[in-house]
Amino acid sequence: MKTKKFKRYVIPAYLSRIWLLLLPILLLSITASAQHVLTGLVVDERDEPLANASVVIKGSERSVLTDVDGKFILEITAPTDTLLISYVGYYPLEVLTGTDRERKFSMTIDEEQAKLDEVTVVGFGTQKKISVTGAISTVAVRELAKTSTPSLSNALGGRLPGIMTRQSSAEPGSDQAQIYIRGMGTWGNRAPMVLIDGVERSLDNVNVQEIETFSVLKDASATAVYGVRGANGVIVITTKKGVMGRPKVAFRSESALLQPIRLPNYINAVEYASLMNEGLEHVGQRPRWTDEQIGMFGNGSDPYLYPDVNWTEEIMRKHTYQTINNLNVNGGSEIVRYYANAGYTDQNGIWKNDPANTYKTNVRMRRYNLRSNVDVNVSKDLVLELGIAGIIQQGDFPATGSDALLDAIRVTPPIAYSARNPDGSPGGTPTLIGNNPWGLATQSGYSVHMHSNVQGTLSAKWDMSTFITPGLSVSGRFSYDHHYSGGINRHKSFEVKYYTGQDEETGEPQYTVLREEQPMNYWLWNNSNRAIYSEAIINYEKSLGNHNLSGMILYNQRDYINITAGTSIDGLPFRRQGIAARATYGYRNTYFAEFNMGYNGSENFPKGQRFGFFPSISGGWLISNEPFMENINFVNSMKIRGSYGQVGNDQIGGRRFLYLTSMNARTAQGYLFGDQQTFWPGIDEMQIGTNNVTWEVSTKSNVGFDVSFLSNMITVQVDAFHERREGILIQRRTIPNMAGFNPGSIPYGNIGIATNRGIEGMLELKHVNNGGFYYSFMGNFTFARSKVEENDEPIQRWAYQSAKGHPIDQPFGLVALGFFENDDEIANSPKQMFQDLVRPGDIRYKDINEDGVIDNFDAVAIGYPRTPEIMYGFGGTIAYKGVDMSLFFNGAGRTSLYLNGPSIMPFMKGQGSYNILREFYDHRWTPDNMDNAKYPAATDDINPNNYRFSTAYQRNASYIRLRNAEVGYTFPTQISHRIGIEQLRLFVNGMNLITWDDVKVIDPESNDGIGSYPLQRSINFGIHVNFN
Amino acid sequence: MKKRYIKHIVLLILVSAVSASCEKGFLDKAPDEDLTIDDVFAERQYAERFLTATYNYLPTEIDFAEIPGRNPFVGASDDMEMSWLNRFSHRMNGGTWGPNDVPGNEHWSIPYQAIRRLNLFTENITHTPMDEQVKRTWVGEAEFLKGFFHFLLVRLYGPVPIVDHSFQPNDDFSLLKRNTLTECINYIAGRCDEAVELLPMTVPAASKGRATAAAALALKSRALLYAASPLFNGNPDYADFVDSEGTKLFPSYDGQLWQRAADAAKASIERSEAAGYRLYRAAGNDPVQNYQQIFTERHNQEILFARNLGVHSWQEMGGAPNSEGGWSGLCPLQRLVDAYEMADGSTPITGYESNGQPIINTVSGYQETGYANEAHPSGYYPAGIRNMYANREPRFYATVNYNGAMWRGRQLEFWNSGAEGKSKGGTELYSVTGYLLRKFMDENNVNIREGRFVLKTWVYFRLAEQYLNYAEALNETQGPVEAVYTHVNAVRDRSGLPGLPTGLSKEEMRERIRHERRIELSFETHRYFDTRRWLIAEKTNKIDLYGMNIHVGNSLKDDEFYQRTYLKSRVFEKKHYLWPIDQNTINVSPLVVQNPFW
Repeated sequence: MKTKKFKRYVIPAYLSRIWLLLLPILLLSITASAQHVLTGLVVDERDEPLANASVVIKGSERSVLTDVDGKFILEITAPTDTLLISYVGYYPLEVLTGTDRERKFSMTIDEEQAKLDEVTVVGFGTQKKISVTGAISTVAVRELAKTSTPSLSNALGGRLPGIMTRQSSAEPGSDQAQIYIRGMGTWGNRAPMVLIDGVERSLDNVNVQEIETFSVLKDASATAVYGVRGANGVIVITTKKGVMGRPKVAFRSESALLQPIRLPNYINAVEYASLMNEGLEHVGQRPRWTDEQIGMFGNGSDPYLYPDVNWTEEIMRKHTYQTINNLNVNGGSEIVRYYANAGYTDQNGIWKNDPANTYKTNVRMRRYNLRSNVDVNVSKDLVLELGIAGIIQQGDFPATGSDALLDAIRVTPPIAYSARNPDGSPGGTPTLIGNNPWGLATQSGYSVHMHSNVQGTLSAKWDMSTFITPGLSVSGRFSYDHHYSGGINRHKSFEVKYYTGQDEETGEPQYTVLREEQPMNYWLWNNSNRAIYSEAIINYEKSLGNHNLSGMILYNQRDYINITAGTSIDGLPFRRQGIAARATYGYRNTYFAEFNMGYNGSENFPKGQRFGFFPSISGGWLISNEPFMENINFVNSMKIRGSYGQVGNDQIGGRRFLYLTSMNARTAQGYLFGDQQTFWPGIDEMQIGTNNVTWEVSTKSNVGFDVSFLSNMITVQVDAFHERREGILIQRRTIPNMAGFNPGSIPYGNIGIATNRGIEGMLELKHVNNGGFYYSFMGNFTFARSKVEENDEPIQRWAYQSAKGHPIDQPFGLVALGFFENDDEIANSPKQMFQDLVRPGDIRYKDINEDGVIDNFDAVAIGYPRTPEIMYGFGGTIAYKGVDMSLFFNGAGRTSLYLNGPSIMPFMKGQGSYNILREFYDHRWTPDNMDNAKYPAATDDINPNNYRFSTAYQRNASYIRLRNAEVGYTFPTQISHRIGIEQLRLFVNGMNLITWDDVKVIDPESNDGIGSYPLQRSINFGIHVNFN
Repeated sequence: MKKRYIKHIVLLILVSAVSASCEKGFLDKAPDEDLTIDDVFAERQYAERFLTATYNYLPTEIDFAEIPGRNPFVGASDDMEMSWLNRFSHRMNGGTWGPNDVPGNEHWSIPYQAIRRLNLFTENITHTPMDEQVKRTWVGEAEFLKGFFHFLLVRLYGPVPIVDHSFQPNDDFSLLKRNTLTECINYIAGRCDEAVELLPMTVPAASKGRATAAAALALKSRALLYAASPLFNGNPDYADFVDSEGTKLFPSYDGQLWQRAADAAKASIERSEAAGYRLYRAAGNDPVQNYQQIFTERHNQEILFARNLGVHSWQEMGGAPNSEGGWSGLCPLQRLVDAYEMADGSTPITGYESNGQPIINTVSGYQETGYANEAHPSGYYPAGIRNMYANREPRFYATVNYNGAMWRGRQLEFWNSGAEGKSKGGTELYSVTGYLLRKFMDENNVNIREGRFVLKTWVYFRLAEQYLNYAEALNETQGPVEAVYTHVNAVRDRSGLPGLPTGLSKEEMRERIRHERRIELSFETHRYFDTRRWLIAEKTNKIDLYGMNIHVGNSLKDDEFYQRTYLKSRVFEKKHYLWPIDQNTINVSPLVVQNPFW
């Protein structure tokens, strides 16, 4: 078997045959003293050829490097000579040359050395992992790929410590989760900066299959080099590069069946009509429907005049479909290496089509990813890298967007009208003209969105070791990104007819035409922007005995223009420039110190205040390298890290040039003068400039502890962090309204202060037993709690109403004690000031300040912010003989959700409007259901006493989800080779399989309200093939 | 050699790529053509736009509820009740509101926003190159508006901080406090005096809506009348009300204030009439038309200052019955209906029993029961209407739509099963009293179903109010002298009523004048403030509301419908004489003290 394989390497392919042809010529040129010529092959433990391994005959000057196929040819003078073969990260091999003319040499990996050599992505470069002193976490891309989703952001939650995500919608094309690194540090912009191949780019378009490394930089040490952009944390992604070797082709295809979960469950027509009556009777009004009429809603005898429509079923599919496919090739030589990938993603939405249309109205997102990364060794010292990516996305939508359709479902009760009239036209009534969800979904036309991104990056690295001094290198990067979105909208107002019954004589259906059909219109929109980025870096590394030194200095600048901006201000370029530097020092690979700094500025601030200096220092102690640890064998590595420093955030709510005072002549209100009331234009104050606006400054400290033991079987990482964000840009709140500033023009100031602290940890366990049974477990946990220190709020009359001391975004509301049971209880309770008449069944609130009345002064901090304070994930994999299985759970804690809107607060938009959730119906207060009621009694209309922010509608939104489960089977190589395939794996995985939570009505990750485009449960079938 | 060459080229490209975009001033990018405040006042046309936009801050009092709180005062007066429950006037009537719950805070903030603009305008207009005469006019308009916006604050909150200059964001706001009421009134009167100096009495047709000297005279008259009234003038309840430094915010009683008010009203009337202003009379001098058209004939000769509203539908919709696409929202109270005199000037109802039943003045000829056999000779009503609506004074027919009234070519049906009745209206889309507002509405040119609406104005000041201001102030200072009679009677005569009986005492005359204001100025946002400045709101607002029995009735002559029916009770406490200052304002400016009893 082994020899067979060896032969395959020796004389396998076209390239090798050329080499064989050249061999005699080469041999002729070699000195005649040769005893024989050895043809060698150097491989690793897995029989993969090692290129560039050094082969030396000990004691001589004769040496060669292996080629791309791991081969070398060496003239052997004496069989007793010793061959010394070495390769970075492997134990050196010393063997006698012997007399064989063909030999294979297997190298053994040096785990310790590999650990020492392992590198981690850091700001503007890489660093040996052991010397890293900042808080950086990474995740293996194969873990991310287990979540079958077109949006990378949805694969991150719980996968690595320090990241918090929340996905509030699953609509194709806009299903990205919000990402927070270590929770919330500010109430301005909290989005982390995302760098893809060193350039600020959007996370949304990245294809998981193209990713090589995914790292999150969290503390000041890791992010100070990004200066004014680093405070919210930085996500650094590098895409795959070519690896020297023959072309390797990999293909992965997966297709998923998706099923919406937690669709709103609305009550039916009979329940709806009787609830209307119940609400009216509750306030002493006459019922709207007779028992006979209610019966007709139930028995379907007249589905047009007494309809019972389940609008969700009427326009939503039960299942939908998605596929993700990637084909890539990778290979190269010493001179040129390449990686190219083509991806195709097709994601379908949940809306039904009307077969009668010539066009489809369901949502469908198709994305084409193309990426090519080529590295060229122009010379021994100079490497050029050219990366080009094209991302094209086409989205098909109904002309009425998904949010509007979901809203139409919410608005239209089951009793409103039949989806279709007897003649097939969309139904309607005078009060709900044109709101027919079926009409909107299928009869209102369609729209097509096109997004196209071109991202080009050219980098060069010039090793100046020979040119100037060893360890010195210079590199540069230039990128040009262009984004275009555009689309057409073909909207049509469909005909709406109000069915009024049958003609008594002819039996013909009678209609009132409420709206005539309008021809399909056409309009075009587009957005476009481009960004140019350039950087230049000088790197220097030097080892002097036990001392390791390195330094880095960088210049960069970015120029972003919104080409289709709507205002002159937005149309100005967004520019940034700066320098960054790093110095590291290591002693005996045991003590590490590091200094990082960024000095950069943004044109958004007044001259003289544009540049800021952001320094950080950090240190690390690799205890396991100390001599006294030598005998403690079960510990493989143990390190303590600490960092302290400052970073900035200039993303201050998208507002620009706050130092300028400007007037609004374009959209200002005018006035009408004259007896004929002619319009005269006006001018308003728009922005009142303040001279000293600048970025937020975050002071961060971090303490970390890394340990791995039992032969690296268990790895643990724990970090504790504290952040104080100062100068948060907020609109001044201590300017009284007597000053007369427009609410919109009240000046901003860098006034806010918030702190954020927490801990995060990660545990990894991996083991392969002798029988080839592999198992692993991974768990991680993040807790971050923010606190408002200063928000410029005036002193509150009641101190408990101050937001200070609470987390950012802390909800405030009334504390519901239950429901009034009778009039006596109302009379004996504090007066509730929200409406003039309070009835039994209304919510009874707590009188917080005990002043005898319940009013807005009784609102206190209730629950937790919508962004969770805790996020965690855990899971494991087992594998044996080609079969692998994995499970992954994620969850969030300490977060609240507020149920809101007319579907849970019936008739707040008037009698007979809006669908009503079964959740309300089953748990409402009635005289017969006082004890188990969760919701107040149904009333006829808006109830200002009940329908306000209170604990009655707030839910604990903690959850645990079985986020993924996967089973895979890799065919034995003998089988796959027989069909010319290197590796063949089939897999099935599922996403969002089970959720445990308290909300139950809607998905616990939803925004406040009653949910939007539902999350999907998916069952995904895939195949992964490597060709060689 | 060749390799070197390549290296150099690459290095050159790298260096030039970075340095090319690294030019000096990379970050020096600021907007080019956007206006600053200096730019605005460097150009006449921009400066004018700045003033123009300020007019838009004038309150749209025509919207009794459209924006919650824009004009809750009419619905919170004893003129009417709103059908729609979710309106702020209901909260006021129920007493369920407070400093932390004042809607939108508009009544406090918007006037101050306008005042900031006006201060910026007068501070900056001095360096605008333009015709000095025009500039004087603009400054005059701005001075009037400063006074008017301050007055809007004073009538609601009493003494307020006077803001006579524009603030900068970095000013110390913690020292802002309330001025005394006297300072406020003097400031308003001072603005008016200045405006009168600078402005013409009238403006040409194309400028109607701009402030005039006539408007300023009228504002001064009203402000001084308020200052002389019991709420503000020596109110014992406010005698000890001081700010944080101990300054008394309300003055002790000063009888001279009535004389000052009388003088201001007299000046307003005399100068306005000299400039051509008159009590409006329609062509043909029909008493109903005389009154009705004051509000539909835009900028007629009686109007001293009005807000242009463009084609405005809200009030037409709000007052119109559901049967024609309206919202049946603005419902006059039975009390108001009862207050109208008979056609001969006699008083039909003199008071109420404790059960809400009226005490009928039988000599007036008023009948609560039965139906009119004959139509009105001038066509004010058809035959067959309930006797209680027959033979009333003309202003009643121009103000109230009642059961059986003719409206847009048909008879209104407010009984339960009628076209306007409760059973036909959706939730809150029926009159809760059996009456709807008719005043202000354009019967002939508006068609809701067809979406046809008309240009509207809202009258802030008209000459009839000045007559009544003068009569009231003069009666207080000199008693019922002849000038008091002539001015009240002039207003009555325009609406076809006989003059007041002679020989009234000062107190009797006071009641007559108050009654006349109630009827003449109904629904014009006066009643709410009048009942407060006379300190009678405990009588007028702490009441049980009655209307017709809208829950029953199947025909025009269904007696059941005409039973006076209890609707609900209103709450009024002493603190409700003035509005509370928004809590956030007090939090921000601790020297601003809250109003008494809040």
